Amino acid sequence: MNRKLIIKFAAAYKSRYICSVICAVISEILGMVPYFAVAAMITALLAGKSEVLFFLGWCLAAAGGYIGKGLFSGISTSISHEATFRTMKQLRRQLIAKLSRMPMGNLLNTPSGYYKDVIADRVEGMETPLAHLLPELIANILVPLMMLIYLITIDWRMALITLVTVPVGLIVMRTTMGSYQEKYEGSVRVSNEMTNAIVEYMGGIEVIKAFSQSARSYAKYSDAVKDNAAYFYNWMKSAQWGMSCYTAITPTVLLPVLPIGYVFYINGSLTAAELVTVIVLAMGVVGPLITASNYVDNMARVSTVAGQIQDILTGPELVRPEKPVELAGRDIIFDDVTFSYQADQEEAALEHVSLKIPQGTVTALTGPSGSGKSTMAKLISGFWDVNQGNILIGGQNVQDIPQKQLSDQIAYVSQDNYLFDDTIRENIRMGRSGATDQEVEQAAKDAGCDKFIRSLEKGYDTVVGGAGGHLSGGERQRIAIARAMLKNAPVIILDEATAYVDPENEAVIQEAVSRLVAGKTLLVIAHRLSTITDADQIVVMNAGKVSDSGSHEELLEKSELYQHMWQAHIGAKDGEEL
Amino acid sequence: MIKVFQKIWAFAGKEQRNIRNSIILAFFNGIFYAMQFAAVFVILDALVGERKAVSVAWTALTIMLISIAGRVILQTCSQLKRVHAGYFMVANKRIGIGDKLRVVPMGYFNKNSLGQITAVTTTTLTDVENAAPVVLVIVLGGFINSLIFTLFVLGFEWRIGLITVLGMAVFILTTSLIEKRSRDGAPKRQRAQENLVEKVLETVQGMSVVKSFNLDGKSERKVDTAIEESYRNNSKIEKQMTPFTFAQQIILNLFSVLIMGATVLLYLNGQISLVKALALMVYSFMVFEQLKSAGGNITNLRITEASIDKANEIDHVPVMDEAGSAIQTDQKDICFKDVIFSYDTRRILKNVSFNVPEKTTTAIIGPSGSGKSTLCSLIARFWDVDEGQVTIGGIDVRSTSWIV
Repeated sequence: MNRKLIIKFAAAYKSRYICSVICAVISEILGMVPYFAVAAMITALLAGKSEVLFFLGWCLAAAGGYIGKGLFSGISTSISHEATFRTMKQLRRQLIAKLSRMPMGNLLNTPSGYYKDVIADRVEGMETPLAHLLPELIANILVPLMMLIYLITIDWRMALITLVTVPVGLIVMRTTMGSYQEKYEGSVRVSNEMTNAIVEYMGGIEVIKAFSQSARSYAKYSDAVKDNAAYFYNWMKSAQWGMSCYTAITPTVLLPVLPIGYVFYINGSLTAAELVTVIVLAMGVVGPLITASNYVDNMARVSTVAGQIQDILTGPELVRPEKPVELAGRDIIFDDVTFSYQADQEEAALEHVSLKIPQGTVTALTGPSGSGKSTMAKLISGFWDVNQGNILIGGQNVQDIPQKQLSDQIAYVSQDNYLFDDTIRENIRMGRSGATDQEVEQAAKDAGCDKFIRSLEKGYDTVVGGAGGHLSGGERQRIAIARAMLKNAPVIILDEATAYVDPENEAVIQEAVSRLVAGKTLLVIAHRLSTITDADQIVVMNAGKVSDSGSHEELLEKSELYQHMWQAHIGAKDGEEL
Repeated sequence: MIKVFQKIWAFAGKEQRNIRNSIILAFFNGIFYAMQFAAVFVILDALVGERKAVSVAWTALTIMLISIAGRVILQTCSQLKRVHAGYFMVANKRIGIGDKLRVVPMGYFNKNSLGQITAVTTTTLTDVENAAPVVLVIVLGGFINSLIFTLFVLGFEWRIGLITVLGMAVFILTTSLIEKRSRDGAPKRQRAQENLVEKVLETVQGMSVVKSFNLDGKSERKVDTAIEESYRNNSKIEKQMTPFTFAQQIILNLFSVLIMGATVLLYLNGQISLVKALALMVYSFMVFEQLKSAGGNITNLRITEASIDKANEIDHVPVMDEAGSAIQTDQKDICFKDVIFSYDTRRILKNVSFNVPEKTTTAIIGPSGSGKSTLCSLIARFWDVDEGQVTIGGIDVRSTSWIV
């Protein structure tokens, strides 16, 4: 099943693989010539032949056979490698394309190291099995087969005796092979755990450094590393005796051939020349058998990797239509929405939430952390599908709106704003490709980040790394806000977007936002209640449910939770002002 | 090529003993492998002498059994030591990198993003893990076994022995040629792989932004380029290496033919006996088998070297001085004296001096980007100051690994 998937991908390059196989077959047939040559020469020597030209002729034939073999196997390898590299490229592209169709939830819930591992490393690891498997496996089956046919023409008994070590070796190997697949899967698990530990450790190194005395993360990291090494070593240890027996016994066809062949010679049922020829041929079975045995490892590797790739490729997708739909206004409606992050999770993140966010108004979501505010924002943005109920935008269910059209409607700024490893200018321009430099800079001004960007040595052309370089949290947030402002979408969602911004700049941003949102639908998630008192509607969330909603004044009167939060907030503010 | 083995040797560190023992065991393993040749000779000798005694069959069988038994034992021990060395030297390196990161100033992570180090610790070192034992087993083991075989033959018939030596010499010559050729290829492949890792990580981590801004095409282009680049590099290396690898195999095979021809000539000239001639004919097939598989793994050798180089780069990362002892201070006043600090060229703190008396609360305020967090990072010694001094209880935070 798993292998089938890979074959499906490799099939795109079927003709290349077939060419490769044909070349491999030709190569191996030519590779037989030297064996004929030596057999002929040995027979001649034993017969007392002494014409130099005869021997020279056979030597030239052997040389020709070797050259031809080398050429064709070279061509075969080249072709199959090229096909394999293309297959790998295709696989990676498919995987990346799949990631963008997956629900964001699945993506966010999986450590990014896992995807990196599969797409970069595991696919790379398939090179050897894929590129070598076909041509070489065929060669390695073909050669012993041809040898055997040749042996049978000499003496069928010797042909059988040559094969004796194969079942013996296989029986020994079976004892070690029993749990191979399981062990291999275990090893993939262990090394995945290690990768995750490494990614986590390195990602959190700043925090770890701050608390270096506890060193718990470091211990976890080094344990995962040691576990990985120990697992592979112990695996080898448990299998090594069997493997050694196999690799020592199986290829040693001379073990039965020499004594038994000699006994036949004594009987007179085998001539000396025949026996020597058999010895030479029997050794020709050695090489291919050793090589063939290596494919056991490779086959299991392919199928495990294929399993991981398959898991990703066949995972759930957000199914969205391609054709844009007509939106009647931009009202956002939650209609009895229930949602859990994991299907088996008992407590839903949102339970029976119904809510209307009218077009052109400002709605604020507030409530304790974990109450479901961000979840709502992400559901509107189409990061996940709801379990029950509907979310409507402009009268259309979000599941019926193409992802692209939905994205065009919404500018979503969250707490963690990923900045790409590119210039600040390009990071902002991502809001609207094709925006001019002036527009980019205007957006930056509106978001209150123009000044600090200009103070950087390279200004707008400063490259901010994957983690955002050395920009402070507030600076990064403002860049993300500029990016969202540039987008100029009819619906704007600010999910704690100004949490790290200092009050001075927050005022700048709020002013810009209020200018920006004229006639637009704004959804704000905020802990600082003072920033949302002017909202048309404040929705108080609690434990995945709408606890209450209304204006600031209304809520102060009727919502106990809101009163509580407001008091706490005022208190905190007083504290700040001290 | 010796340099690569030296590199692996140095990289092995504490595992050197295992590698050395593994090589010694492999040497004896080679002797047991070569014993097959003795069994063949016993039979050939009897054939030519037309001796027909069952005892000859027993002798041959006994020699073969000893050969197999010896190889099972030696191979197991040798292999296990190699595997142990392969996995644990990499594990030690990983732990070493993790350890090192704890004392590397955060400033370092500017130039070498953590993504890069993560890539080295996972992907690059996994390459070492996979390739180093193979290189040691096949390349080094192949050489050792061929050497033993050659010694046997030199003693058996020196003229053929010399041809064998010549064959090995030519092999080593072509190997170093191939090696030079792959010298620029491997690091490029390395870079392409690391670039791929970074771009994949960026794509995965930035997916939410990509989705919200309909950037599907744009960000995918970057990762697509990386995929294309990886493909092109792989393809290029293969195209560069394949002709050489196979030319090498052809040359070795031609030496086998040369041995056949020389054997026949020597016999026809009456220089060697018939049994020797037959044995050498058989020998011509066995002699270069192991060298051939060694030759097929030169690429692995290069990959291993490039990977080790990459991993060792992290060794050159500057560390903060760690005196190592815990220092007890009676009071914990925090004091900044004329502190100057920059991230690269972006100066954050300019002659900052202030005091935080023990057991008091101090608030640091200011616009974002004004250096508030940086102040705290300097106290916690995420970085070291450029000029000036940060002290806790009068002790410079740089003077010790930790203050109690």
